[in-house]
Amino acid sequence: MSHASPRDQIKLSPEQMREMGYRIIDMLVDYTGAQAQFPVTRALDQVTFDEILNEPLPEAGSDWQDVLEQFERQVLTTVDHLDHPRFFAYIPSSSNFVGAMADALASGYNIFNSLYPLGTGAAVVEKLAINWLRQLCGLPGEAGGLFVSGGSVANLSGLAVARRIQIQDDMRGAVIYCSDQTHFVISRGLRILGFAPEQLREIPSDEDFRLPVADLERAIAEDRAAGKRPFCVAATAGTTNTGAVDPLNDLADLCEREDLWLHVDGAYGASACLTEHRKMELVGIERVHSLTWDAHKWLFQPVECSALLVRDRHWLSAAFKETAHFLTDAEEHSKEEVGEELNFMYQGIQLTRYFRALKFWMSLKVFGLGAMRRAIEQGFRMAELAESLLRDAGYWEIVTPAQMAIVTFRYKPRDHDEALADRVTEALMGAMAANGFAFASHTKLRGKTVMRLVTINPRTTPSDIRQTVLLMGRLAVDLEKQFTSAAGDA
Amino acid sequence: MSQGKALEFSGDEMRAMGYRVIDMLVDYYESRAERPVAEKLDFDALDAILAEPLPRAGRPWTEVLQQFERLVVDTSNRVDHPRFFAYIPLANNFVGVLADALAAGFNIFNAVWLQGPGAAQIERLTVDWLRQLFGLPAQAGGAFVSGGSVANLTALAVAREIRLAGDIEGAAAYCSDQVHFAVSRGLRLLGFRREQLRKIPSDDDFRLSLPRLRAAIEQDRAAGRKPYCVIASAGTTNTGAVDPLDDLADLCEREGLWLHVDGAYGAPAILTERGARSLAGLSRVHSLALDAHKWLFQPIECGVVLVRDRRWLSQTFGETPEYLKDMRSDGEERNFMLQGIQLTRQFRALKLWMSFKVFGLDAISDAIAAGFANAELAEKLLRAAGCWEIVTPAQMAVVTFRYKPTKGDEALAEPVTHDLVGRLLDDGFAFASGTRLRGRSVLRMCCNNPRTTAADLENTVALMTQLAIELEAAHRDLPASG
Repeated sequence: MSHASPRDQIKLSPEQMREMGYRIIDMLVDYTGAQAQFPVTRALDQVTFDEILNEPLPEAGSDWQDVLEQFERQVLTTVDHLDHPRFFAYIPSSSNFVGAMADALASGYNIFNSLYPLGTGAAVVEKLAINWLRQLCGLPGEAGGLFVSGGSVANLSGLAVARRIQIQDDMRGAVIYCSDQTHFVISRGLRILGFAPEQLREIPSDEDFRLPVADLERAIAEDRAAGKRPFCVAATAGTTNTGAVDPLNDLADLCEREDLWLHVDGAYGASACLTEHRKMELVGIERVHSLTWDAHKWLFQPVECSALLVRDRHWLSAAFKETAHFLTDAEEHSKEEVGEELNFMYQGIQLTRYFRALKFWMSLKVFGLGAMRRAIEQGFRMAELAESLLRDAGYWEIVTPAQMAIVTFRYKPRDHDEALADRVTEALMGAMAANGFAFASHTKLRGKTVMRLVTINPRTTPSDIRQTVLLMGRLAVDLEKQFTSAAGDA
Repeated sequence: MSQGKALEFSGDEMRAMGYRVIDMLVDYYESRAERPVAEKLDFDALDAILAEPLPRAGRPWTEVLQQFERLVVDTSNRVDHPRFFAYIPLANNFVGVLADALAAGFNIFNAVWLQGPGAAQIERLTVDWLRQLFGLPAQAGGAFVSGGSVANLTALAVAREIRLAGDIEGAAAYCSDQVHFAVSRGLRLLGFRREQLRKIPSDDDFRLSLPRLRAAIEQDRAAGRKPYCVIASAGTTNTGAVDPLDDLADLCEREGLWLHVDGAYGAPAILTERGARSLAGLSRVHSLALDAHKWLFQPIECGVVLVRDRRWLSQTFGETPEYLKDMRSDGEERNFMLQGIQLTRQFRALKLWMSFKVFGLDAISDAIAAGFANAELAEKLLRAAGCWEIVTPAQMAVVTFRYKPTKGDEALAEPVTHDLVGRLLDDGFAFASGTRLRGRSVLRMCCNNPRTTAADLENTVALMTQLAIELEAAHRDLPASG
């Protein structure tokens, strides 16, 4: 390969840059156009993976064409496509092309969105994007926030703010409450913040897998009586398991009465705020102290793109501000005109930050709120369609009905043999992965194995749902036969 | 607009937008050196921007790209500009940028082995390449993270888990007064009180002072506290100083302390001969934070955390929920969601992997070496100009200096040095930033951008000299300025 100059060895010529850039765009366009024809899951080949790890450090460079080819072979042919219209597992991340191009721009211009005198426009666009999210969920005008990597960091940051504002960082005897359906990043986040495991009290969820307010109230009273210091409720708006939404309005009442912080993990479900009718399921979300909202889930952005919103934007710098002499000049230049809230390095855990807000801003501008709303609403309808098809098939038990675009279900063998139901349901995920047409994952609810379909990809068609339900039926019946005949043979 | 309910473009539209984005970037890379480093801020426009209502309907992407250029590109300081010497310059490279485009375009989720074993292996490979470069043992491992803040936070969480088993009462960590604030913020996040981080006054060369450190540890032990960790810097942001890593490793070994090194800025210098000499001892650390978006020329964000025993990461961060239980069978080590604070993770390793492959280590090491040479040239030019006091000589591509008033009026050194940053911003040709050392204002030039030329340095020093002399005259003319 040719180099531009000896002082400038890590540079491509403009012709090379354009050629490589166009090639990558072509790869993405070809992929997007043909995606639905690809299998959802990929076969694993252990030998290849061992080979990858044994590659020595490259002393000399290679042609970019060879490196791209290696990327296609080693990465693209082995990754599951979370944006495939028949990927229903975990939480799909369906992404959008404008968002991906925004990431390319943020990376290409290397926009450093941490200290606004170094990039006023970027800081203002982030503030605007946050303000749009704030309006959508109904938080008051003094609320604020920032974009972070994902739900883990948004929750960790929200809980750090709660600790700072509510208990002035004094963790002794402090207690946080959540349901047993809470995402594990809440307990991991608290552990990282230095809380002991027993300081998080998991309340068994109610029949609908929601946090039961009466039980919570009782636990708080018990803890207060025992001399502990309840300070925070971590509720969920759309659990990963079933899509359940905790009773946010009742919890907000309780938190008001008890002077507790209300944090809501809406990483998955908060996006329903954009819809016309389904947002009713989130009533109370406008009353939270802090809110996690992943745009790379149901706002269709490429990973990573999440937002943390807090009820009073000054709380962020109270929790995260530190001083550094090497930055004082830039801070001096930032004093007069605009508040320090635009210096995002003091609003969260990162100093250097890439411009994550750009993808949300750019795709919302290009597609408009209306298109985004319709895309979200379609997710609700697809889960409802899946539920009705599963019911019609006759051999599925609906464990939780479609809510927030998630339906959970379990195989119902003819003789109602629960152990067999567990086995078939559990084996189904592997059978789907081996088949490759569609992919769904399982979880455990009250000790029973269930399958989940998460239908938030707006490119999923009713026909995708129909064929997936048919396939699952066929695979499950085969599995049942296999297990019962094996038992018979034995 | 043709974009339908599924937030989709036609293939033609995607290609047109994609090519346009590539063209914008290629033009930018080719014209960067001719553009100003810093742009003027139009504060009047801000309120109007912030008042923009939620966009109900979509707009053509061409229009939105134009708005992005006007609003964002034209108001950003160029941290990758060859005459941007402020803070830590962030000189990225185009291959890394395209890797980011690929990672975003294919939306690669690099958190769970089974969902993308190829991506996970490439991250493991890239981490292992870094491990080899730093001379860490084979059982060492690590992960890519957003940047130095999270790399330091992650490493310090591991130190807390492995050394203190979570019991932080009375624990004490040590660093110099030159340590980056990400370390103190990280410890605060982890639940330590401020006084649990002992900031030891640095020595004459702004390095962690061993005698003072030893004394502090002794004192704390005598007072019943639990010293557990030393946090050293490999290339401070202020002056580029490298703490005496080998001596610190000896001390930590003797005292049974964890040695964490914040090498966010300086660690990549290990690829050069001189860097390797300055960083001797780095192979002995328990944990290391570094930023590939600083001196390994990647677009932000690209941080890395390395630990001496890779199992420590999953010991600290491993938690598996029901709905991911089937993933665990494949070994926690391969599942990056169990090795740090994030579950959903971008494929950040791809950019470093791809640029290592395309350019090769030799080219990258030459590009790092250029930074050392550039800072030395800057120092020489400043000395030759006659009106600058070199406060710390060029080290790890950083030089700090202070104005030396022409007529010996020392009182003017402070205001001239301090005000020069603002003048540079107004001028826009080149940008250096200030800091404070031992209570005095100094200017810093960080010269790690390999695209900086000798002419860039000559012109920048000449400009600073001219602006400083003008400032001195202005201050002298101020009536009763004291």
